[in-house]
Amino acid sequence: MTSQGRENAEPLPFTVEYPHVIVADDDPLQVEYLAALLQGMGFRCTKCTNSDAVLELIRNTDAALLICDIEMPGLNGLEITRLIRSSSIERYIYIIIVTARNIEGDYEAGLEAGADDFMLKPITPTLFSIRVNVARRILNYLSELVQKTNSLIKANQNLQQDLLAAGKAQQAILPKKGLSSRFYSVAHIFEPSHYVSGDTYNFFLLENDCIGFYAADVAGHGVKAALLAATVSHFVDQALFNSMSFDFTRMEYSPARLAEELNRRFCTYSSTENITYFTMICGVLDPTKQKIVYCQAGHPRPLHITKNGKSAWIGEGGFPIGLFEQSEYVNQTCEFSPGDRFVVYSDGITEAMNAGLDSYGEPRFLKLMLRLPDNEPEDLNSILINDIRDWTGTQELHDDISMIIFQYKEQNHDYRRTA
Amino acid sequence: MITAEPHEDGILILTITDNRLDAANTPQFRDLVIEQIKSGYSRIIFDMHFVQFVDSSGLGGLVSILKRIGPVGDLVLVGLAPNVLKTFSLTRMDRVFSISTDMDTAMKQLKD
Repeated sequence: MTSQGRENAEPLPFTVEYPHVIVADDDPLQVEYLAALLQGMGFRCTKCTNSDAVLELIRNTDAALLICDIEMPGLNGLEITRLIRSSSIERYIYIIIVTARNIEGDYEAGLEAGADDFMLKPITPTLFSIRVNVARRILNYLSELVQKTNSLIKANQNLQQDLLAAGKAQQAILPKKGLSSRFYSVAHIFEPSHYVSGDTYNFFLLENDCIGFYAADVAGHGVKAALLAATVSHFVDQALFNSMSFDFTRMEYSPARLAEELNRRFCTYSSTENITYFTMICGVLDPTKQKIVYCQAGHPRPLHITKNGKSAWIGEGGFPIGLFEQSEYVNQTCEFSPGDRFVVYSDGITEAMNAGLDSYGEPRFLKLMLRLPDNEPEDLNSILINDIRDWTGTQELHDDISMIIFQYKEQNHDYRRTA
Repeated sequence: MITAEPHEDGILILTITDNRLDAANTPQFRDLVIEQIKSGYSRIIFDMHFVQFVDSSGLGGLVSILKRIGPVGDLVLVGLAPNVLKTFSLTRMDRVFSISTDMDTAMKQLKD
């Protein structure tokens, strides 16, 4: 909205069908005559014989129509018209200029000054009533437009506020801090591209010092994606994660079971008309086995960096969740030893584009990850976001960004001997 | 967005002329294709060699079209850029869609 702050203005006054009219003429008889005609038609009317007072009257009343003589002592009708048009009065004043003289050019000058209509004296009741009714019609139409605009502005404000609140509510579902256990440290980053995000994730400390995690990215953007993301994060709490990702027949973690269960549930959300799905990676870090078992459901390949700085994008891909009921999910494993890092992220990072439509890409992301100091820096968020923004320049981020970094703490490498 | 080229044996070749299939253009793309399906085409080839990037919404749109064509028809994708193929293999969609490297193979596949 402009600086005039219309959003806070009261509903504009000329919403009544008959606008308030000011009749300005230095001839009291003429004023009385027009006022009588107007009152006969049902208008409210203010009479004014002092042309210098017209502007103040307009400011101090709800008048929307001005019928104004050209020739008056003091300000003349054209000057008044120009003053009104250049004033800060927010509502539109419909101006009809009246003149007794038939001077060539008056009509043009009146319109040029900003008048809407022009009448020659003597004024006959029939023509007057037609002209005034035209003004009334236009003012009513205008007032309707203003009301509609105001209610749209209000509705838009409410939506923005709701979205902002929704974004905050959504952020509140995500883990607030990282996690530091005996064996692992977990850091995470979340940067929604809009008020609300289609990215969601969580991580939990499980039994035997294991850590469970999932990260999901709902296809599409905006509220629809965010609602599904919120549903997923409410649904996959620690208890569900624990029960669904553990294979009790084999007595070991099987994140693929969790993916299967989610796919079974969320396939019902999708229809042929309206495909709703998300990519996900979920897994469990086991300090005793020094392994990560994970299931990759269409989510970007995670990055594994060993203590010696050897890096690999791992994972063979997999079906997203919610597309096909018959999708099968498998577990994959990765050695994870003290000093190693495991990075899970959403494609908002690698697909962030610069003005030339080139994406940030995996190589750049890898380079940044390899540059990270041994101990997780406090300002991890700004390190990543700044690097991406350096790349995208003035381009806006089009997708949500989220990342989780798991690190196996080095000092615990002798765990098995001391345990 | 797309150009349509009807072929012998009721096969329709649709060329996607945009270089991206993403949240911005997928709804329109999907509507245009569904229109063609409604007009009676059930064997369709997508020529995708202009498309350099498919995001999750684009993928969802393609799956939605595939489901729409269903078991009665057939859909073959031709000319997938390396970057697009990468997205397809990451999400296993390379196992869901019929993908051909060239138009002749695609036509042959549909005629069989």
